[in-house]
Amino acid sequence: MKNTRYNLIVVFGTMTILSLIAILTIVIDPYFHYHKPLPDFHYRISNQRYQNDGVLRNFDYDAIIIGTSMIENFKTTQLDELFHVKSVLTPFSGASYKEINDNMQRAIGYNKSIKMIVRSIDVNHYFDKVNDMRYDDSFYPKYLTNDNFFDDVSYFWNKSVLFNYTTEVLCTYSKGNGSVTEFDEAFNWNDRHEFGKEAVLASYERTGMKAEKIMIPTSKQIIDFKENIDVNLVKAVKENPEIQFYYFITPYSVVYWDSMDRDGKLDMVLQAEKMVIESLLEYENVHLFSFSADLLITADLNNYKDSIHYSEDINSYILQSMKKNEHRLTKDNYEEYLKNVYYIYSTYDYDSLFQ
Amino acid sequence: MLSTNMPLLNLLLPLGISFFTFQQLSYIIDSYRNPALHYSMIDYVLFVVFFPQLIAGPIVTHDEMIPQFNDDNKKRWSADDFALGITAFAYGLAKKVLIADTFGNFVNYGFDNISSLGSLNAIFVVVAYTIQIYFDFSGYCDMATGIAKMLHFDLPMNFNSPYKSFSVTEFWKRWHMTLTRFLRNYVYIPLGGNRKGKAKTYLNLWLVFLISGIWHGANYTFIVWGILHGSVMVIERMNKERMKGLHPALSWILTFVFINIAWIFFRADSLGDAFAMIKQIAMLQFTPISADMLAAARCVGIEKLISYSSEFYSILQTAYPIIMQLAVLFMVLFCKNTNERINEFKPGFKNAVIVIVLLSYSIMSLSQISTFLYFNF
Repeated sequence: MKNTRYNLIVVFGTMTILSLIAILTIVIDPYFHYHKPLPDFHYRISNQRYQNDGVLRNFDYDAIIIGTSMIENFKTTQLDELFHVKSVLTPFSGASYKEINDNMQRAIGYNKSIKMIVRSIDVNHYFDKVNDMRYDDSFYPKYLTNDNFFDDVSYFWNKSVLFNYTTEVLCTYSKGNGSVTEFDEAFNWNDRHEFGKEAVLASYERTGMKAEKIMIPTSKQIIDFKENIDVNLVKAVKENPEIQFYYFITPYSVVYWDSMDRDGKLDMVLQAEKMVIESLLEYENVHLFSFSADLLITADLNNYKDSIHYSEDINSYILQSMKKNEHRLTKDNYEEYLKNVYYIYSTYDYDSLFQ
Repeated sequence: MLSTNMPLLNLLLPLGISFFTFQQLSYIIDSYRNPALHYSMIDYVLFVVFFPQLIAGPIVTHDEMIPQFNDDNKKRWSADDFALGITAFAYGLAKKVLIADTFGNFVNYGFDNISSLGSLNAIFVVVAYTIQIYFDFSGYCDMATGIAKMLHFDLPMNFNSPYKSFSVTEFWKRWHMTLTRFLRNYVYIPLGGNRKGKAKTYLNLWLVFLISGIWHGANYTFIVWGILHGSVMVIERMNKERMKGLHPALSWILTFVFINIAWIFFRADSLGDAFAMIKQIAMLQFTPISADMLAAARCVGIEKLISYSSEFYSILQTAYPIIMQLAVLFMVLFCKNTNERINEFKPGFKNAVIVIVLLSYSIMSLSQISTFLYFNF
């Protein structure tokens, strides 16, 4: 064999193989990066950070449930039924307000028919800063979430994608019988965990002594958090008056409030909550809900698997309340609500939980 | 095009600073010693910025490169050299991406979790680093040589199967050969080399390795690594005759064990970590390969392969890193290195298929890889 022929075989052989692999992944598109699922394959939805962006840009829907692990047990079928919408569920577990907002804004930019967004406002992220993210920059597959075609090489020339997703989807070929994992099941962990007092307390480490000092936020913390609220909670609401935003403050259990009480952070948390509420109630397209004052939920540890994660029954209850306009915060009742919450969790007999 | 993450810290020190600094040092020293040396500005600039080896060597000298730039024959396309070049490049890329990075994931986990390793895992991690640093750095050099060759230029050989060495002295004739050459020509010989009596020779030898250690990084670990190598070099030199009496297998084992121990210091974040790793090995408490480490290593291709095998092979699921390690060690010790392969290269269908597979699979593995180890030095 001549060297020239060898060179041609090597160069064109490599290019052919890489092109075929690229075409395969682009056509099958297991992360929905280029198009919605094909009708003849089964697509598994399981990887939040890699697939949600594609779901939000390329699926047909007019409502979104978005947030952290606090939304993973929602059933889109229930939301669809209650509000006559077609919804998608896109959790980003542990995400900061920024991460959720960035993804939500991208969805709004791509899908002009969105009518409704259900979103969690996580109490444990109060006093995050405007650019906080859960993970290091390098963790996120930015090649999927930017609009630069050239860095998509990391998607279609990626052996993890090829072996674990593309070929898997390919093997499910069945003419006309394609499907996608139901959102009701995609991220639902309800059946995988034990709920109840024993489970909650097993995962909770109570600090020995109650802090004597009551913590108050510094003015820097207040300014930073206000900026976070303005950019990552309010901006989308303000810019999209035609979309109805159903925000809910995540109902954590009394055990979580015990930790706040022990650390002297109760005042601080409620001060942050007040800022969130007052900022959002300025807008007519915001429907803001909170269940923190409802001890039937938060004090019943059968609803929880740890101090913050509640069962799917609570998710279901949240949607029903949204439909019935119950537990809704308004300009008229929010001050009373905050007083209530403060009273409940500053006087609660936490010690009885641990006896 | 491939998204790489460059933390701010890396920007403060330009990539490959020590490599182009060495190159220019040698150029300046040679110009000083030899005033007749005269190159045009263009030649000089090309010598300094010649991209294939800019970042991590080999450390080339002006008299190797500039005459090639001026050689009219070299300015023509050469199908023969391109074939050699792309083959060397494919081997280099595969060494870096498929071997070094795979073991690198185990190494990162191991050095982050030293206290929970136990002896078997610790030995595995230490040997994995020995494999990683060789395949990482020599893979890079193969790629540099390959790219230069595709452009019809020759770069000097930087590695010659160093782990086949029977002594540390031999190791340094085979490992990062252009650094050894630089240190010999510009440090050891100016210090007096071996011409000023035995004691001075030993001191010079020792100093060269101390300097090499300091050059590798601003941490005591590198200095200890340099001192270890320098000291063993001196001991070997003192006992040259006695060394000859050793059985070759024994001298290879001693050498390889020493090199592994020295690499612990090279890799560890602190001296404390290095000693903690040695302690893990010395405790002789053997536990199975850590499940957390397997999870952290994410060997996608191999795991997929094993998942197809029957339950009978389920032992593979935990033992595959050791099998992989033994296979790679076998390759290192008994297979031809890239240079030898290139020297004997004949274009053929089999070679073409190997190169196509290596290139394609390596490129498919790129999107989950980190940066080159030797960038920092």
